Amino acid sequence: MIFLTYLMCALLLISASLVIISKNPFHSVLFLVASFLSASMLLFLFENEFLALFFLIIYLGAIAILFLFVVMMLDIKYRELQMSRLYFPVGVLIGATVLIEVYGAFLKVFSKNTNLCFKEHNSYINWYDNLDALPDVYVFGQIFYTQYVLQILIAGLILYLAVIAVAFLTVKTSFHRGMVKEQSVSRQLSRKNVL
Amino acid sequence: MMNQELFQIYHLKEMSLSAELFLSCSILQFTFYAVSTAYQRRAGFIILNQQVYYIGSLFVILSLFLLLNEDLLIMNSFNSNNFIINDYLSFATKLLICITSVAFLTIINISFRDEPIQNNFEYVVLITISVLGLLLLCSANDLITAYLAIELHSIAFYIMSAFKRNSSYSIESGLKYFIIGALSSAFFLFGSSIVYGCMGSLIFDDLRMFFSLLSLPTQNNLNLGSAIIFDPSILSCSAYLGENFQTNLPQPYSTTPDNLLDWCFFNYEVSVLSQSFPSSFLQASCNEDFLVYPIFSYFFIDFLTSIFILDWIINQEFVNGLFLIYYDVSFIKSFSAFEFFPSLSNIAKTSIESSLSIFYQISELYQVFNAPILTPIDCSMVNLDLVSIGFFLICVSLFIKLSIAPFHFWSLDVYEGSPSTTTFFFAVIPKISLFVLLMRLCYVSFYEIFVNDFQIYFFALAVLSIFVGALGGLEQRKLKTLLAYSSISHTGYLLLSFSTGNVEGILMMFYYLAIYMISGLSFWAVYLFLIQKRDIYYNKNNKELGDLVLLKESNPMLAFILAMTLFSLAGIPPLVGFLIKIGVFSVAIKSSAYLVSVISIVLSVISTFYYIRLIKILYFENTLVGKLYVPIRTQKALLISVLALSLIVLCFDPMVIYLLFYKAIFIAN
Repeated sequence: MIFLTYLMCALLLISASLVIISKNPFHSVLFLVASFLSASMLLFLFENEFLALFFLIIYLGAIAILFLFVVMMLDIKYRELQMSRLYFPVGVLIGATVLIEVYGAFLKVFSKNTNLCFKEHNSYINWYDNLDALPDVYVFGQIFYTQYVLQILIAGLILYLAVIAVAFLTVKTSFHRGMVKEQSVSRQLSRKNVL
Repeated sequence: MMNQELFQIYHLKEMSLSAELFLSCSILQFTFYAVSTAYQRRAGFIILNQQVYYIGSLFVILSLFLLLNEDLLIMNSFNSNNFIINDYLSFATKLLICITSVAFLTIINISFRDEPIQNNFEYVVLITISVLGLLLLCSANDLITAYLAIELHSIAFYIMSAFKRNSSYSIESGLKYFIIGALSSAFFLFGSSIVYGCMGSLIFDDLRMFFSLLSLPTQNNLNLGSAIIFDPSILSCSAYLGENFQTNLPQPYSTTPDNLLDWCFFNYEVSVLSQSFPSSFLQASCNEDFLVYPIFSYFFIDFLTSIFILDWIINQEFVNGLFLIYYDVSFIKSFSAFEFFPSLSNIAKTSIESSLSIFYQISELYQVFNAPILTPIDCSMVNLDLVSIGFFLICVSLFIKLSIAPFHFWSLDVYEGSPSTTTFFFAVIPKISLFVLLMRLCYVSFYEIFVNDFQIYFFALAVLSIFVGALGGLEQRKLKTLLAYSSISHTGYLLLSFSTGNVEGILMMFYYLAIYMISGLSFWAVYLFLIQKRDIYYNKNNKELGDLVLLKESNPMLAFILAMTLFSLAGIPPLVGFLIKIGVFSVAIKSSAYLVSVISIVLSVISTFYYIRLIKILYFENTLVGKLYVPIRTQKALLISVLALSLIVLCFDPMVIYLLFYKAIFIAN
């Protein structure tokens, strides 16, 4: 269990960093898929089955595939990373500082034995909760649609806004004809594939 | 009888977001209406231009009306599962946002009349949705709600800045803003996840409670009285008595506050339905003599729950009851608000008075036994470094949104590239609600961390952004970028008065914000109403400084008003800008930040240069060739003169806005 968790964490980290490092966008999408997969494995290991399946179905099944389609359709040219002389060292410096700070704080917090810290904590077990455990989906439903209903509504508004935005930015009107970049299907099909 | 009325209040309390609910529903309705008329081929693609702006301003006016008529404001309570705070501060800021956005909508409606006709009703939808997001952000009591509100308004902003689809500058600025916004929300989410991991809650008052428990003096060996172990990981409060009483008691229980709240309402419902009170839980936990009644989370004690509990306690008539009640000022405050609340006047006062007397007896009981109600957290258990990193990341995200100096680079390009009306909206309206969120973070929840560690950095960032705003604007020839630099320096002044750490500073910050919004409205109204007289309309709307030459010949009043607004932004005495600047500096000096205030006064003198240079271009250029502008109409003239007059009037009578925020700040404290 512990070994598997560490393995999945390592896979997640490696694939997430390869998403950024790899120059081919197609490869980075594939690594994104790998990172989603390992994240859902981690969730399975933590016995959070519903969320893991959610990850598999929504992120892998829909969003990552959509990403793949978009990357294949776009005509992205390969370009070597430009190492700017000013930005790169400054960025590395800032990133390293933040990383060291966060890592130090994490080390301080998690270095202690947490079992000792909570010795005042009562050892009372609520058997009622253990006996009458609820399934995952039920709990998610309860939390989403009763407690966090306001947040769900705001998130719905955000999605609605995104739909309006996409419709507006891509719709053809007579005023904008010729001025907005449009998709030409034949050209897209005739060029050679990204792979 | 009483129970029914209490339930009515309970439902009313859930309706306290009525302005926002109304605005969102009407936006949905409006979009369907507009789509079905504007994109219908059979109707011949009806042009919706003026009407939609009228409808949008009507929506905002009606939600303003709902806001003004909200009686529940005095309850000062937390609503919808404690995710929304409904206090006077949010009321005042929402009021200001609504008024300025109505003025904004009116100005752009009038200014669009001289432009070629387009069918873009989506712009109004975007504006109203972003106003909705700003309103929600003002009353957010929770990091998740705040995040969603920020996302709501900033997604609308990305689209608004990319709105002119045939201009590549506009598309570029939209894309830039989108990427920077994604970075900022990544910081926000990372910071809030760290905070959640360390402290177990995201609600601002929970966090405040955590810090207040940390700051209590430690008493490790208590023989008598209660003890609460505040578990930061799951925020469960377990309560038990001291050793003397421990033998008499059943085992302590632990629960999360939300469960307790649900439990409480559940029991109340049961009592209403059956008039009995089969509270299995309490009877399980009470012995012959003692009733252990833990209510510990701060946010949990609000108006209604306390009434429910006290009502129940009175009904039970425990003679020897011992109650552990976390006792907070807000409890008493809610009762004082209770007297002002008109719909509650029918409820029998006696029961409440008796419950209050019981409550006082309890507190006296505690004083007699010398038993602290709350015991502090052992500081060795908690490490605050990680929490402060989370706080820092959230602050960085908000600074990116506010374009404070090291994080300001996006704002120049975005201001220059996006359409003028959008720049107007960015520059004037959204700052206030971000500052409200920053205030709730720094002065309510993370006050300890802010005062101990971060105050000096806030000062440094304020001075840095004043510096950047003062020196960056000197070289600029484009008017909008100049305004972007000016906005950066004004944000620096706001942050300076914000980080002084006392009540006057925050009060001054909100006052400054209100005046800044009014003078921004005035400036941008003049900017939008200057439409060049040309035969062919083409897309260049941006103005350079030289375009304003000879405006005093073609339209002397407009030039005068522009000069007056610039003087006000620079802070020259007979105008209101002077008043706010001197207020900020005096607050900074009062809190003995001498070096900071001296530096910022010097930089403010430098930044006066570019305002004065604009005035020089307006009045003292010896050229004979200049741009001609379309003469402005009566409505425009009326609007501009009202805005410009307010700049003078507010200087002689500044108390209107001052009092609005005075009350807000003092109630919030």
